[in-house]
Amino acid sequence: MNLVHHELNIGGVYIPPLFLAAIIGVIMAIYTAKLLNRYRLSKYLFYPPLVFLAIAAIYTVLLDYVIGIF
Amino acid sequence: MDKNAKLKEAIKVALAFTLAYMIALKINWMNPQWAGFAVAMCIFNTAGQSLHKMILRLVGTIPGVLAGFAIFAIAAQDRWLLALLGSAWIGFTSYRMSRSKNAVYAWQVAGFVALIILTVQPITSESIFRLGLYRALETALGIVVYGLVTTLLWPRTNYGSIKKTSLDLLNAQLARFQATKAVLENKEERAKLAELRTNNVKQITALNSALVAEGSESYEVTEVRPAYERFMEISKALVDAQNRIEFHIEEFDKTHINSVIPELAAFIQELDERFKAMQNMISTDERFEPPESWSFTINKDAFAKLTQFEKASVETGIQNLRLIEQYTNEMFICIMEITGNVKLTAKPTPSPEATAKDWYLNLIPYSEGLRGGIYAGVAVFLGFCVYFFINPVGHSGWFQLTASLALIIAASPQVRIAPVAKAIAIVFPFYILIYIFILPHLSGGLQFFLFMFLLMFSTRFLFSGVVQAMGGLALVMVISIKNPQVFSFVGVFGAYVFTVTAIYFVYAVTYLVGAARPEKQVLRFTRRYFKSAKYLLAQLANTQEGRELGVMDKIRLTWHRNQVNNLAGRISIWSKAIDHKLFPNVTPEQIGTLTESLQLITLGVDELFASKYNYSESSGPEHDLRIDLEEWNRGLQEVFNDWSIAPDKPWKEGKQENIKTWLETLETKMQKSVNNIADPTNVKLDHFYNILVSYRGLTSAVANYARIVPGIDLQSWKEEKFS
Repeated sequence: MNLVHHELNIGGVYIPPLFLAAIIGVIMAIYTAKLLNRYRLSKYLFYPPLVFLAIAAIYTVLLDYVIGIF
Repeated sequence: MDKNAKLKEAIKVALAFTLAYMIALKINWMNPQWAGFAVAMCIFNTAGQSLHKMILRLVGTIPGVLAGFAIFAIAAQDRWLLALLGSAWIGFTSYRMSRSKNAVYAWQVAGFVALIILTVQPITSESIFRLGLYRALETALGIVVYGLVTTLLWPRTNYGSIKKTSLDLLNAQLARFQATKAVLENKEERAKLAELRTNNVKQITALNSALVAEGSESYEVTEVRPAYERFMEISKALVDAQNRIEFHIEEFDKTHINSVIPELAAFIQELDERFKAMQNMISTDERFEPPESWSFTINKDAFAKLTQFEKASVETGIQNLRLIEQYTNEMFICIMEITGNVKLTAKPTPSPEATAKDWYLNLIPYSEGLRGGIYAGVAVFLGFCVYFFINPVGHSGWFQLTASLALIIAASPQVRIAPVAKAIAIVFPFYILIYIFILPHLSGGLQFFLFMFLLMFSTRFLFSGVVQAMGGLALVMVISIKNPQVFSFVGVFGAYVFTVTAIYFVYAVTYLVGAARPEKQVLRFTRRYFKSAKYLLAQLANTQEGRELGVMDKIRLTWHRNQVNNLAGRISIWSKAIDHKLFPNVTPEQIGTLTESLQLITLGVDELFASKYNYSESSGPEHDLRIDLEEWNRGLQEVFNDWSIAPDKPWKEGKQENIKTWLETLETKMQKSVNNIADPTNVKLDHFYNILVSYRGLTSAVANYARIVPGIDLQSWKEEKFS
């Protein structure tokens, strides 16, 4: 298994995999936040803006790892 | 703006933009797009406003360039010191933006220009000096070219803009008098007055902006400007008097008001005629004779039948009617001066009271400005960190563009960023396509000139609002041609990705400092509002007991009065940014009534301060009812204290009834005390009536808030949510 990340080639434009992972990570964090709001679970959080950043960071790191595998 | 005027304006802007760009390109100046940028970024509906903004841009560029040089001189060898100094400069300029009245844009430019200077490559003393020099030079070129184009091509005086805003202001004032009359006749609800009051204040601000922007445009305007400034000052005083009348309108016994003040109906008719005559003078230059002075009398028999509270309301009402009569008379003569009916008088000077107040205000740090400054500084510092540690696409833009965006957001943190980011995301690709497929096929200056003209013309003529602004920005940022030019898709695509990412980056920082959660800001401001109101009442009790205030007390007093006067407006602005999908239980109408009730409390507190009551009187009703009034003051302080902790705290059951009973007891006590005065026109009695009306008005406003707030689900705003 090759875990060295390589850039994504989109029509000749090389995009860093972390950039793609960050975009998808933020989108997933937005939907997670919406779900937490919907079920009123966000009221248990001390400061949602920081939690949002933390969730986005976790997703980004996980996705970056997954993208690296493929 | 009609289509014909829009067409002409679009041609003028496109021509100025293209000429400035082409001249800079022809002379081979560094970054020639800056000259076009100076035109594209400063365009408003009128030439006066545009030129004013351009001059501010130049005025701000010079200190910005010097600050850039200084930062470079101090920290060229230490990147962390450079980042700290750059962030501190942005924080400072952001704070100055919040304190400046007429040079906000100059401070903004001074901020981001310093960081633009630091992006030069290679970063040497010589190149940084050249960059600073060209930045100032090309900004000046943009101003000169636009000034020449707007003067030579379809010249249009902006005097019309001042006239129009003056007419709008007169209309707003007339509408308020007509609505007051309708409320007195029970034909209109009091809520209508709040809407007209807000519009009246907006029109005064619009006239002020027009005078600042257009004031020195031509000799014609310069000559009458002092008279217009006096007109604006009189309008402000008139607003205060109108506010006081409207504040007590519910306390007037509407069925008997015309019998107590027989001239009231005729006076409102007279006001109607005065305003219409003033409008005619401005719009048609028709000549009128100055109005005759008006006097008010009280029907003593009808007055004697009123309760003490009603008598107090009528007395203060007449005082305000006299003021309105005086102000409208002065305003009429002022309009006669403006239209050339009488000779112009000397420029007015600010009143001593206003000067003293302003002087104290300068000593007090402006908390929202400090908050904005810290936010802008932190955002830029984080931008530096991204550049130092990751250095992604955009490179030095991470601190430079971040600074420009953070300064805008710090100035108006309540503005929603998502529509701007969406507009950029949609508009930029269109210009990228032009850059890739059309620009490489153009050859020679003439073709480029015509093409740029066409692009700028289409942006100005076909679009409006955010899309028009972002179109102008995209045109300069994407289609930036240099000598020699190399077309690079990766470069332009990278700039696009970076711009959108940078906007969201700045938004994320805003989110962290709380600005993206307007409901929390509204709660914070409401708590602070009541805290200041409580302090003011406590301080008022101290001064009424004859205690002298020290300098620190005076500064604190000025700070809290400023808070009470401004926070209701800020709450209103912030509440408009609340996402109602996220908080469906609180409607915009409910927030409207909440802010309106706060504005009424502000009027009450203001009036209480204006009454200048002194307990140290040795006799008369002021002395007799001293303990009752002290108790009244303490009661209001307790209520404000409760709301400064929890703005939605409901009153105990029966409190409204208790107040009513207490007021009835007070009425009996007052009757006894007033009966001891031999002369009913006694000055002491007038004084006493003023304080009585003020306390009662404030109590009514407080009771109104207490009635409204339990129906609003403020608890849902307190709950933590992702927003």
